[in-house]
Amino acid sequence: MKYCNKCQLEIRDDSIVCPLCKAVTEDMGGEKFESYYPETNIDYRKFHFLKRIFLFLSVVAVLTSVVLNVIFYNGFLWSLITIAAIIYLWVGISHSLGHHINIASKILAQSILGSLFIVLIDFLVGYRGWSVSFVIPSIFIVADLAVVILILVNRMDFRNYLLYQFAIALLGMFPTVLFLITRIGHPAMVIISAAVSLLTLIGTTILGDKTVKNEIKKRFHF
Amino acid sequence: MAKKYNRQEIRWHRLDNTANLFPVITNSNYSNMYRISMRLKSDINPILLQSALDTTLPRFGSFKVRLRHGFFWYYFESNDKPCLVSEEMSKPCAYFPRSHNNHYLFRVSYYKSRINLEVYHVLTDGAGAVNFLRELVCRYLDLVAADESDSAIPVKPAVDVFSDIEDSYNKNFTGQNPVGYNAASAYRIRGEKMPIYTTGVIHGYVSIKEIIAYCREHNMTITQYLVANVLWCIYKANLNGQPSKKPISVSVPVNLRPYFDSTSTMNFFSIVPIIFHPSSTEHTFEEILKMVQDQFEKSLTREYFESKIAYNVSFGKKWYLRILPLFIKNIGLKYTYVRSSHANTITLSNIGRIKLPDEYKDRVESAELVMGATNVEALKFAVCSYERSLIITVTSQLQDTYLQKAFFRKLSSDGLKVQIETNGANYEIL
Repeated sequence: MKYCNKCQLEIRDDSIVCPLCKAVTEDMGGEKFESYYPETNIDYRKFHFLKRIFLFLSVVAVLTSVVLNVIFYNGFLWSLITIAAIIYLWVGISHSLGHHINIASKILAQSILGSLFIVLIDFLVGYRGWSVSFVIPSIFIVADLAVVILILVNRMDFRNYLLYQFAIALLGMFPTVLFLITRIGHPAMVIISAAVSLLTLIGTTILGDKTVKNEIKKRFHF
Repeated sequence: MAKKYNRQEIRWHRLDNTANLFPVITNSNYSNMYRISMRLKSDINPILLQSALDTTLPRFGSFKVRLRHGFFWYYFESNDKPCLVSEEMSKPCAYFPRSHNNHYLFRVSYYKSRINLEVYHVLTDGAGAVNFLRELVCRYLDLVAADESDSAIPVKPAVDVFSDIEDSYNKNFTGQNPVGYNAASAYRIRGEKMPIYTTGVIHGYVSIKEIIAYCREHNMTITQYLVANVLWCIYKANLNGQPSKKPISVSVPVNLRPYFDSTSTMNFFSIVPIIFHPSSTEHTFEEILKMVQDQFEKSLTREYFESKIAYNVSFGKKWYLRILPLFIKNIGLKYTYVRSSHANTITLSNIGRIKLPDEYKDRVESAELVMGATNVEALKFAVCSYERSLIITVTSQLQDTYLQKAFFRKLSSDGLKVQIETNGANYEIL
């Protein structure tokens, strides 16, 4: 035990100075107390160094493409595609690499981001509607099936995929709505996408029975 | 085949009224964790501690949960994964990602002869956590005793109520005379910060007998004495005894269970602000103490807490707020929190005396409470007592120790014998 004459306090730590006033302590002898706090070392170096490199490279890529696009401008803003691709990479990858993020949520996020990206490209190269009538329906058909496979493989965690499946299925019907309004492009893929979505939606509701009801009750209680 | 699906049905329940705030304001700098620990007389056996936790946890439904997002509100869902004990590795109350502990919202760790229970405030308040820790420690002591003597393990619960999942805020909502929070900003203690993820912890050991005798002699309670001391020391040490434009405000969390006859094992506390506005250089300690006592007397009544609850719960009752999606509610909550947090200088929490059944009490050395300091509120005082000693723990994110020094010197100049123990963070920055 140590003693600080300035503070007039006994100090259990084995220290030559007082933790409160930094005055030199006096050894009182008597009972010795061991330290009750483990050494903790925080490695400050590893803090996202790789991430910083990628961030820097992204900025370089964006700047380069914008500069080149401006210098050799021919009426086509292709640098926007680079920027969108980099944003897509950052948002999509950081979400998809998250260890503890639900896989169905990753599929949903990728479908949405991918669709937006494709629409942007379609729009920039002269809007001809191929994104909405072919690519997006295909993305959602694949996403629908992927979640169905996920559910079949991982039946125990069925309820955790449920709402993502519903969201994907509802979004999968969106191109149909768009087609009915605009009448642009070909209906084939759009209709297949809607059918697959509707089928998974109805299928899960019927086969999932009580689980579906409980999950919806839980997630939407208010 | 059918057996495979015979898993226990997933149960869920809502968060209590206060808990909704914590997920919103928690980040790696502000963990909203607090730690209650007990030191035993010999080193902890991790295997026995694990099996004590395995027996204890299933009885505490309110702890055996994970936190999930709904569309409108958060909710707890029963968690069937194993909860593992670990050796203490980080600074107390450090933030940890939920996935690190199978999504449990608390953590049991050990170091030498100490068992720590670190709890995320969304689960429960100090009273609920003490309940859990008492049962855990008693079960551990049973296992140790059985291990030593090869006898059967006696089972004698150390608590009255294992798990009572009741939102006592809602239950005691009257809707009468709601009282909001004081939004006027208070004096804030500033200074050079410690390195990231570092917290200075200073424990002061005081003999419970001595402090009770001293408080009796001066006709005050321990909490009143300590709060008055904190106000006095901020006035003297941080303000150099000068008048201040902004008042000093000490938040004192109060356990509401005795006032409303509740046994809830979720959060059920309220905050009483004790305010002192230094207007001259002449204030005396007696004057501050008198003020503290008056404010406590006015606030510690069922009526006062009823109006506090009426205000808090009323938001959750309005349909136009309830139908907002969770992320919009959270923006509003965060805004309200940030505004009201400026009305607060420091927090002093006294969870009082921790009691164990007679058979066990001699096998435990001491108990301590540690609260995580935050960026906004760089210092926190936590008080807790067990058997012979009262431990005042000051956690701080500041490098300087002016307030701690003044505080413990004041205790010792009042004739109390104080022993200091630290986690060493204050030596590192010499």
